[in-house]
Amino acid sequence: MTALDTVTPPAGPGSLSPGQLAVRRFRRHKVAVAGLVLLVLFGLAAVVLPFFLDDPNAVDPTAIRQGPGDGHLLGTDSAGRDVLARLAAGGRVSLLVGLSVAALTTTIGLVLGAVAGYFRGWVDAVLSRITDVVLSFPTLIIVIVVVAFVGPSVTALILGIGLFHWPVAFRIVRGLTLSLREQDSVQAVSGLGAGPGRVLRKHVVPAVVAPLTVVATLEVAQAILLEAALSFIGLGVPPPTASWGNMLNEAQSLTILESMPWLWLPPGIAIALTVLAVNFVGDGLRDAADPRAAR
Amino acid sequence: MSGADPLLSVDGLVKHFPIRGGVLQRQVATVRAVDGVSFRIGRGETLALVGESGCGKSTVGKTIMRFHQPTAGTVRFDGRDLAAMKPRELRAVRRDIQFVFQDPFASLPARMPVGDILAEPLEIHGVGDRRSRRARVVELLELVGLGADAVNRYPHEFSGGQRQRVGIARALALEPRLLILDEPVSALDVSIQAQVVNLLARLQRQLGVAYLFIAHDLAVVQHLAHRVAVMYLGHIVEYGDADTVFTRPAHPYTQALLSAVPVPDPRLRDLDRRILLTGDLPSPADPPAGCPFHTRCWKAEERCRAERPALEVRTPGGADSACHFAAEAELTSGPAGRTAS
Amino acid sequence: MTEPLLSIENLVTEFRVEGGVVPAVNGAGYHVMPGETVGIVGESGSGKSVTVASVLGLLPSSGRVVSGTTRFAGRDLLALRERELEQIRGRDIGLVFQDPMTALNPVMTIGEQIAEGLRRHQAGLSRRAAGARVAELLAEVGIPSPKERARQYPHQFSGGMRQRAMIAMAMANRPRLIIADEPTTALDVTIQAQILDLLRRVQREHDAALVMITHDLGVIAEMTERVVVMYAGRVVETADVDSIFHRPRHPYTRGLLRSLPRLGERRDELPAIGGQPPDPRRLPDGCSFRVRCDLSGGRAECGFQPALTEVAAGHVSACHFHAELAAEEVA
Repeated sequence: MTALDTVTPPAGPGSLSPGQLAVRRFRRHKVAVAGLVLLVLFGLAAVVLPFFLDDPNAVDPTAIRQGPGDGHLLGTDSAGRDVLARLAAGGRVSLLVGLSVAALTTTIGLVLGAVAGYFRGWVDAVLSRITDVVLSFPTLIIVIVVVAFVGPSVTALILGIGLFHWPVAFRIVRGLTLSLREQDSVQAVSGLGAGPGRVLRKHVVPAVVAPLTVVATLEVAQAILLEAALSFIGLGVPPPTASWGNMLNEAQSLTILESMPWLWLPPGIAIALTVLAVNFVGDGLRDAADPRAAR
Repeated sequence: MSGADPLLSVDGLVKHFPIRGGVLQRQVATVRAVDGVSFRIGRGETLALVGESGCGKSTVGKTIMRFHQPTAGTVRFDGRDLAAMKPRELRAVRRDIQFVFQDPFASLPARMPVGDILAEPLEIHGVGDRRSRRARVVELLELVGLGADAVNRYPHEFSGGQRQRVGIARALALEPRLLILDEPVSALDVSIQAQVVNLLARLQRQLGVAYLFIAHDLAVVQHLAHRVAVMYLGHIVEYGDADTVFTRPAHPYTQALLSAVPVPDPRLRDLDRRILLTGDLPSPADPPAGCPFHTRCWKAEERCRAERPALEVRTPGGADSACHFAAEAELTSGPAGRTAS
Repeated sequence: MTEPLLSIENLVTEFRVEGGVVPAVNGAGYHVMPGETVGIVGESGSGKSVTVASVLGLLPSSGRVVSGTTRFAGRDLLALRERELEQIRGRDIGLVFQDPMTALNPVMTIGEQIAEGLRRHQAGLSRRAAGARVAELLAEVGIPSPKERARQYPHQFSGGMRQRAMIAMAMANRPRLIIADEPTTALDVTIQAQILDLLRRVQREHDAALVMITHDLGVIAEMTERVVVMYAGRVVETADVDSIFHRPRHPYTRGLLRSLPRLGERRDELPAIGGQPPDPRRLPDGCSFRVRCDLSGGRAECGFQPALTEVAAGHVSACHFHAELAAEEVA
């Protein structure tokens, strides 16, 4: 053997971890970056703005359904509450619901899916059948029933959506785990003597996290839409707490719909933009996780 | 070497894979990947398992590792039956038996820097503390001819040959007594193959580790193996000393296999020493009755279709062979002396 | 002297990758005479397959021919339009790939695929005549019961049989040149022996030229008359097969031959070439092989790209010190 055998390629700017490479691919995805910026702005606005605005629940009987203008940048609603303040506060609720549901569903899906995919056999059979059952319930109806029993609240909403929305994540994680466990890199670790705990924690979970974040963005978007839908029909976030959904609720009246767009347009646009931005970010994450998809 | 106290002794190993089909996923057929294989490996020696794709040689290695659950048979390592061990006991034995994969691109975790990859087996078995593990990692890198600066680099930054060195270093981390090498050089470039073959030979001299070397490249095998087992369709058809098998093969399949290897010397090409087999490998899901090789064998007679020949000594001083009509063909050393059978 | 059938000169091909351009071929060139068998040897990164893909217009979309000239039967291939190239591929040049599964259409029967190739290039060939010709071709490449097999799909064929079908397809229009890119690499040795035998036979019968691209020096020794050795996107040595194997004049060729394990001789240590295969993203200045070369010894000359020089009749080498190799041999 010659001395050349000990030469390894030069380190330098080319020496990036797979994680750093993924970040680089994400940053190249312009739409996704724009989506991320928008989401961060919305998030900041929802957190910070309420400190500077009127109390979103403060009723002012003297200023009902005022158009945008002095004192109320986006006007007031039927109870004389400031629409901008409610929009910011509603953003808190919507984002909270979206992120909580995504966290809940992906966590349940990750744990159960990895276990089912790794152990296979009866464990997998039982978990997969449970998934089939859960999937066969229509989420909207389930949440309506739950709310009917425990009363409408943000927590009920999150649990109601979250506990019935995890099968998507489960199926993806289970499928990935099934194929991962047959791959050389994972088999090699079992061959070193690692038990299932270590294999799952250090080699399966990190490998499925990237595709799972894509699922998570879809869940965020769906949860926000579901919250809006439920609140719109009066079964979501209970008044007087503001949410984008129950702000839209007002638009059930034809007069408002026709002549007072400042009441429903802002929450409508906020929902649409947020969901769009979340989906763009999901797109970027998918490309970042899979180098072959990047152009 | 197959004396009193082998390191590994495999007896009657069988691995069948079910093929499931139809709506109900019922078992519709069985792939007889390994169908009754026995061999021994002594301490510090190399047994090569050779054969073409689909002969079951890789399955043998993976079943010994218990990546697959054996269908039948025993695998004794140092007297203890691996095939019957519970997962927990098995994990402890992993320190003594390690595996190197064919594909150095797929077998290393992509998200880990090389230092962590090499420290992982030590962590798993609780060997040493953080600092002593770091030191051991550097030692391992040097052992396989990589620089210590590889510690913080990721697998994707290395060439195939370098990655395979990392795979070998990882397998050696726990100072195993047996290394199962599954086609460790066949994914590498020609100029890199020789480096890794040399490395494996040096490591065996240095560390006294035994190898089960699974390969299809006979020229490479000849350089490393003390003994050879030739597999065909889930069976060992010839088994013995490497020199004997390579120079005086008794089984017609071994003869055909050796003669088919292209010789890198244009002056020898017109010697017409080649035995051209007809047809393809039969499906292991539907193996022929009798001798598994009879469908492609030029010596096959009625008896071969009915009765499977046992693996035993059939020629004086020769290797064990499983052929009713075993007869040594002289393939003397030195390519110029190679003749037609 | 007769004209070469195929000639490639100063070909430069590069690929667009994340963050830049990577050169794959750096001024390679060789020629193929009518009826001749030429072997192209090289490892990964040598550009042996990219050279051919450039010439045939088969580069992936990220690849681009920067410069160079290629002539096939007097026509400039690089100047042809895609449609004209398509005419040449499959009619005048037959292609055999390493993995027939990627080259065959999985949802068409083998017979349909060969017939399609026939009818595309032979206007007025009736369906029935094409069918008969398909059976004839399949029989010629040693596929038993060809009429029945023609009605089967690629997945119903074994690896060896698919490669035979691929050869039948390549031969369908009686090409003057067959290009086989690692045609037996995916096959087992006993099947490889069958396929090499077949390639030799069809080439002889059709009197076509054959270009064998492979990393396997055994296959080169058995099959070819002349050999082109490539390294890091350049041709480093060309000679008749006997000279390459017995009088190599480039240290890379010599190193490869020495490092090869051979059946029937057992050495304690294989004299390996050091270092790693060339990384096209970071080629050294000057001679690309100098970082792995056992002849260079860090001499200043190696900092300059050596030109291909004729060291004997029909034998060229791109090494500043080819004379030393000759002297060593005599010693």
